Amino acid sequence: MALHFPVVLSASLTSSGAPVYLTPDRKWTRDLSAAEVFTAAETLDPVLAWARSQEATVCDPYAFSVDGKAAQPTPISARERIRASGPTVGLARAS
Amino acid sequence: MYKYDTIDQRIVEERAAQFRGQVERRLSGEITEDEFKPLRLQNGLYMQLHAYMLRVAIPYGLLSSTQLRMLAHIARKYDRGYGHLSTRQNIQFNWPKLEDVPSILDDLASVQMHAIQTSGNCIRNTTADAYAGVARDEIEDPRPWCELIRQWSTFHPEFAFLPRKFKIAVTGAPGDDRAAVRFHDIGLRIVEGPDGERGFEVIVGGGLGRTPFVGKVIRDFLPKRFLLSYLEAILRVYNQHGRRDNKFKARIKILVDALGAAEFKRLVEAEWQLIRDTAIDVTEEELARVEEFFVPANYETLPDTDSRLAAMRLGKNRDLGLWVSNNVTPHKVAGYGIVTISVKAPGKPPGDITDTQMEAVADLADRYSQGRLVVTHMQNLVFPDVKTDELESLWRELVKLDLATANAGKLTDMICCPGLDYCALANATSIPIAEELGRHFDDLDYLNDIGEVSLKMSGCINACGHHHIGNIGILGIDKRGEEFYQLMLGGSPGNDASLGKILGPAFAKHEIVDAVSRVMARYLEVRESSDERFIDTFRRVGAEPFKEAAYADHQA
Repeated sequence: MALHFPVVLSASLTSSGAPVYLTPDRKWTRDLSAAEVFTAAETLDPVLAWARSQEATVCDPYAFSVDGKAAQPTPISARERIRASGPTVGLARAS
Repeated sequence: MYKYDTIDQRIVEERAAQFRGQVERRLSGEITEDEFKPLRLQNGLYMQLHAYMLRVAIPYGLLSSTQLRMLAHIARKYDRGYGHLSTRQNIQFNWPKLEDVPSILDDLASVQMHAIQTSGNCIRNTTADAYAGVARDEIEDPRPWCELIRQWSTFHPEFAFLPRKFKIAVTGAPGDDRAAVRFHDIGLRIVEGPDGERGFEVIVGGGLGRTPFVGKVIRDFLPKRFLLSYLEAILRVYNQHGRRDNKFKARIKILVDALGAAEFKRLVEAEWQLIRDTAIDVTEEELARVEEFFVPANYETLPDTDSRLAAMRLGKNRDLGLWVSNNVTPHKVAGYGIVTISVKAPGKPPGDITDTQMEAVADLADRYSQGRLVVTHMQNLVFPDVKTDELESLWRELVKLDLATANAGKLTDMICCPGLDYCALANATSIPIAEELGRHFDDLDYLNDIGEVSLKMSGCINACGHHHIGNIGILGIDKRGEEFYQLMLGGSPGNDASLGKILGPAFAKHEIVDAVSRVMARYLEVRESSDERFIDTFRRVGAEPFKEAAYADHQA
């Protein structure tokens, strides 16, 4: 599927599988609002290549589309919205 | 139930130790994710949307109370206090940390459990009728055969890298298929041949997913002693001819469809002639050894209590009566009942069970069911051996645990995959729809009036929620980033196997529950009598009346 910019770079933590996002200073954060937004392949591709070299820390880096009009990185897809905010349903124990 | 011998025990302990080393190397960066992925998958460890997910094998769904207590311990110590019962009679933990998984495998090994071959392109956990061994309509207990298949298929070097995953189900009840055998890669039905000898009807190429098929019978009768050599012949043909070039066409169902059942059978029979007299087949001694583990429970000689059950159904305690009506099935031994513990309380995620519930259920299994229970492919639990005299006492205990919902076999006894709330493959959420359906249809009188109807729901085309074979099927799809739901009608998993058909355009998330509600209301209008099941009405009148009702308020 074609990637529509702007995008955010994400991966899963090797230790826990938790979703993380790449910040402008090349750190991984759980906070999507702190993620760097890439607007073109020219700037994304070298960073994605760097992210793939961070295998001890993260797995399977990839980019996903965000809403370019929003003030903060806001995923276009339901998948990424849920991945960022957690399950929409209460855990069995909590309920 | 089967007890590990020293070889079984050593295998699972060594496997856990081996995986500990692999995890250490992954965490240190010594091996890459590409190198690690096949290793973790062979130990049932997936990467899901928010975390790793560990799928633990429960062979043919059978658990001891001791094993269930260990699962509760794992849920509490290493996860978030609950587990999820899967549609293949396994249990999944949604939040383990990678560094903890080897310790979880050690704990599992200590109670003769593991996560081997719960993922990957291998022969997965063999499933069976949840009432195996106690059903009145059963001619033979399928579990010894399931156990033999488990032992034969575990670490079988020839079948460790099949074109795709491979699932086998077995039933010993020819009259009522409760194991959906026609929707497995291989389905086996124990049947009686013309001379009374028992053997297997062999069904191949069934399955769900993006290309659903009802399996084809390739052998009406296979003498039991040839089971493993015949399975081996099928697997060899599949291994040789299955599509490895296209993941979406790699399941055996595609091969059987492409070749045609007759040609596939010819290839299998030819291969079988080469190997049928080799040492692969089970000797009488070995079968007897395995069967010894599945001898009937220690039953007391009790009077027949069918009339007592009937009285309980109509008794003054209506809640108990509804529960006995819907959740208690007659047992083959007089004075006993088979109890389905519904893990489908209204407004709760189907199949999710907490650590405290697991521990309490383990205690109840010791008190009421000789320490044994079964995980069903319907994502419920079964106590196979409960004295009729103790049903009310058990029910009162289950009420305290919120596990006494009297909806077994009813609309809210849904199969539901984890969907987009957990699954990395899903396109839409399914649990919130299930929860809303559970709340919407919370009136047990109305559910009883509707009668027997199955609802199955998946969050994507991979169909882990079996939507193709629900009388009512719901498939979640993604439309430009929004969740929509297709409604299907007419599926059935049993002896009257059929695949559901899409009714029309997909519904928005806020519309789907009302659409199901209108379909049910139309059913009550058009059925000939209260004895006519939804599926029978659907087959009699067709889709049109339900389509008209479902789309009455639909915004296109």
